[in-house]
Amino acid sequence: MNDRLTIAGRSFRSRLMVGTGKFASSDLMRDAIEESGAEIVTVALRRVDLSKPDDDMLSMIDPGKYLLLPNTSGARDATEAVRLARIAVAGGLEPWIKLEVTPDHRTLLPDPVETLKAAEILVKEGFTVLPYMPADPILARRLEDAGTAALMPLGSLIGTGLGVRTRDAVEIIVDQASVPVVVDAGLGLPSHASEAMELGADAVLVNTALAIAEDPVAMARAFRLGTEAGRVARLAGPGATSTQARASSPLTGFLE
Amino acid sequence: MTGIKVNGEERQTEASNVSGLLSELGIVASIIIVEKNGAILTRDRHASETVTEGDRFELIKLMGGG
Repeated sequence: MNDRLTIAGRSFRSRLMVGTGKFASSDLMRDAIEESGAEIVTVALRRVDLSKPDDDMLSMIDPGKYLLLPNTSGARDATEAVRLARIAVAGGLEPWIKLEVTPDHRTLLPDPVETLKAAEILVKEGFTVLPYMPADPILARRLEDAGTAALMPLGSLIGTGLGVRTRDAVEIIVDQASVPVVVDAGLGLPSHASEAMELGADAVLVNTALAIAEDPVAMARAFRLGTEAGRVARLAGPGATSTQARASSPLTGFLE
Repeated sequence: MTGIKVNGEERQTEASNVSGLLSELGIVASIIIVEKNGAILTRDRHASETVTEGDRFELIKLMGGG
């Protein structure tokens, strides 16, 4: 099946993106990413820890094999997010940015106003912008109008594993979007990834669920299968649901 | 010795340019981004950019993240 995900003119086989945070070791991270089949891998930008100058966990990731997608995590407003995006490019990464503006430490919810502001600036600077956003269809339109290359509505709060609690809004966003929709945050199980794909998402992003699983590599495989299952089901065109029983066996020809 | 600030910490260095500073600190990350006094330095400027008294450096690298 030649069913590819295209973002900003670039085409991918995999519809599962993975994050690199919180893995117990670099080896586990590398193996889980490999097993997930992901081609887009997110990374964060942080100060070098001068007491551990030789720590280079990400040397395990081959930039020739994966698209490294830096995020702007830690940014509390548009100015900080724009600074991080520019830093990523200065480091030699491609000008693709997962825009995250999360001023509230308790919820890590994206700030819609600052996210839009940062998106407008970064698009003008030539970045391919993938914004992490509240599952708000009006904001989705505004971001798309600003020229973002995708929309990344949250399923539930980051790291919670609660699944797609925003399904009604995600369905509207999917229905109206002309750029890919990537459900990001809160996916804890492969069934959540499948659900997001069944709703019509173009891709999903997962990090914590893999990193904190007892066996991250096996969980990565499960998420790959879940994402694929949901995608194939969406393309297969699910039948209508009903609150009434509808017999699947004939209601005639019973034995006397 | 030159007195500078690196990632918020006061330090003394013998390095005269940014490349020298990075090797003095033993930094081996494959991707390293340097801000000097608030301005981003592209990699091609690390060798030529000087380190002088009072300079403030931010050294940034890629880390695991979602």
